[in-house]
Amino acid sequence: MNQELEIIANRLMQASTPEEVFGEIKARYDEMLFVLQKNYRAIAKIAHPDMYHTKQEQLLAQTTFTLLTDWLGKAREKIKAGEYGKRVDSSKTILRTRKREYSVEGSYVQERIFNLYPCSFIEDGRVHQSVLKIIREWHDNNLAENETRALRTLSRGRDAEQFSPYIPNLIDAFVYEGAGADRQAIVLEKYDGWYSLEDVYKAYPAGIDPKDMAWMWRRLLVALGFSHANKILHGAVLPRNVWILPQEHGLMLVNWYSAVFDPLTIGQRIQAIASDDAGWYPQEVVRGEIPSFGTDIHMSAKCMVWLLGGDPQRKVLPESVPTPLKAFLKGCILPDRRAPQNAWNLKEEFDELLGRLWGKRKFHPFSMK
Amino acid sequence: MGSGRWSTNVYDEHNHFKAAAGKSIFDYSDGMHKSGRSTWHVHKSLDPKGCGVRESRDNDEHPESTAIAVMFDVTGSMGSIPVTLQKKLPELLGLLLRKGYVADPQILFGAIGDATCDRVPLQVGQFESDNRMDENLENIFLEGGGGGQQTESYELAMYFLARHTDIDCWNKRGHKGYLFMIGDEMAYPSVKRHGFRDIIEEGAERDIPTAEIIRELQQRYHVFYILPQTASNGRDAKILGFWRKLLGQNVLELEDPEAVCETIAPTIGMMEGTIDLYAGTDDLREFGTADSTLKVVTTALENIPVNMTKAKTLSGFLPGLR
Repeated sequence: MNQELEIIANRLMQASTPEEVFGEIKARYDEMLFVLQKNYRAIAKIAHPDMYHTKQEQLLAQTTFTLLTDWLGKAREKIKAGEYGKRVDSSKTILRTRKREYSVEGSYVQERIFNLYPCSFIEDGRVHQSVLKIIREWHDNNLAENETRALRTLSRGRDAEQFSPYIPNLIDAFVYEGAGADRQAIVLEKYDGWYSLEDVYKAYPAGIDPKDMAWMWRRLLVALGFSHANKILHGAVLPRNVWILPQEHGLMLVNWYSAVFDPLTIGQRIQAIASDDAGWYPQEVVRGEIPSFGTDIHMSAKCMVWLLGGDPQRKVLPESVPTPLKAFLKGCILPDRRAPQNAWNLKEEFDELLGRLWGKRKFHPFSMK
Repeated sequence: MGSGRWSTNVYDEHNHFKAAAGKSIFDYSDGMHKSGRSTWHVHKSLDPKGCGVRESRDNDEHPESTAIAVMFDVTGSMGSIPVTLQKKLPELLGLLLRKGYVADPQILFGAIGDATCDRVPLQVGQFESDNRMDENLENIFLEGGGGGQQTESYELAMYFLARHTDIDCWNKRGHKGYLFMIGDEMAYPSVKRHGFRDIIEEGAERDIPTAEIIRELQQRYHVFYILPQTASNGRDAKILGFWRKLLGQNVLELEDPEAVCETIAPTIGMMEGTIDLYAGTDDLREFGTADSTLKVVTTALENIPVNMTKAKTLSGFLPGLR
């Protein structure tokens, strides 16, 4: 066996950064790629399968050469992003998945089911900021699997091109092994400038203008229509899981861990209904009945009543809300199977009502004060 | 169960002994076939009836056990494949250990037939970590039945694993076990409430749709379906589509049934994060796997769902997890 080849093969297999493969590159930024290419060629000469005649050497060279090409790609990315040769911050955790490497910060936010860690990765010549969600208790791993499955199905599903802005962008999903257990982890794009409906409620405790509620609900029904067309029930349409982007009237439905695929055919129940959330659900579903697509719609209407300053449990709305709108909302907060089942149709009906109430639709500016 | 020290040549010795005694490793099956159909029955070591649960346990010898179940279709459509599997599968444990794909594997072998018409539609061994698993494998009766309507009782096998196994890897570490089913037909659409009284000795609370039992099983197991291309329905798009719909990318097409261990083992290695695709492909070449099989397996390995594979921590650790 060729000794040089063995040394190179070992180095490439054990390396964890492109710097370990190609070494330090002392050059101006615009010359770095050139120097990299030179270093690459020096190694490629040794690793190229054509250089060898025995079967064993050829096999090793083949594997080594593929690895080398891979490392070359990573080095180029890093140079383009201006990250090559930079010292790695030792306070960060580096995770490698089958897709790429993530640099994760230790400062985390603790939510009910997940811990959220800021994380970043390099791709297409730039640094991408993202969020790493890790299941807190491994017994809940199936919830993360649920979320991954739902987001993946939707991102590839029917009308995904048109409606994918209504769901978070799933970047990666994997198992994190640490602290004595395997935990499911999800990487999502990081979204700045968004507010949950809980934030909106805090900013407008007396209730928002019904015209603002109108655009929020229309968009929420679009998100549900898209999801239901792909046979996925969100299963937790709660104020904290509906996010808006105020100026642009953007809306996103997040936290898909309670999602149920094709509930009426498969007959699966919603997992993990927290007792303090129970009031938002149709009571039949809390009691363990199989949910329907009406479950999501019922819950979305409750969110709207709450945002308007009303009481979703008692179905009471402030005087300032136009009577037909009150009736419309109450007509959606019905026992599960009697709640509207089709979000697209309901949106059409709602649009008709809006036309009758306020005439031609106009953009209604909204801010978080 | 699941205890015992494995020595890689135990199987060989056992085999030599049997050969010397003039018996084949297909003893049980051969013997049974010589008697009449009405007398066919499941070997008592594999009888799921009233067995409670099959357990995979951590112990001093195997502190980090991983439960691995391999169950194959023994109906007629599989042709001579079950015989090949019975011959090749004993190599699985050695391969997993030699390559370090997984720390303490405990393997259960079983067989699947058709609950609507077969005498022996479900056979399930124990999770074992030594040559006792080979005895289980030998005791599998290759009935060769089946109904000829492209469905077999896979759902029953999945029901059994979902409700009648207790695995420490999951209980203690949230680490999923594995199920590999090898076959060439579809499952029935549901586990029938009264359909398996005689087989597992209980009735489910209701008919359970197969998709639902798969979901339940997947909470504790990674579930794979291996479709041998040389089986009667090995190239039937309907069969492939059926399993793809239920298991997504976890359906592996297998060119050559002789390569069954070489398919299962690196798949586990990839899932465990002990090897990456390069190392996996490399190992396969080393096994002398045929190029066509290599391509099929590599494609399958590439397609293993990423969310199921482990990330490698290169440095540091994440706070806030206990």
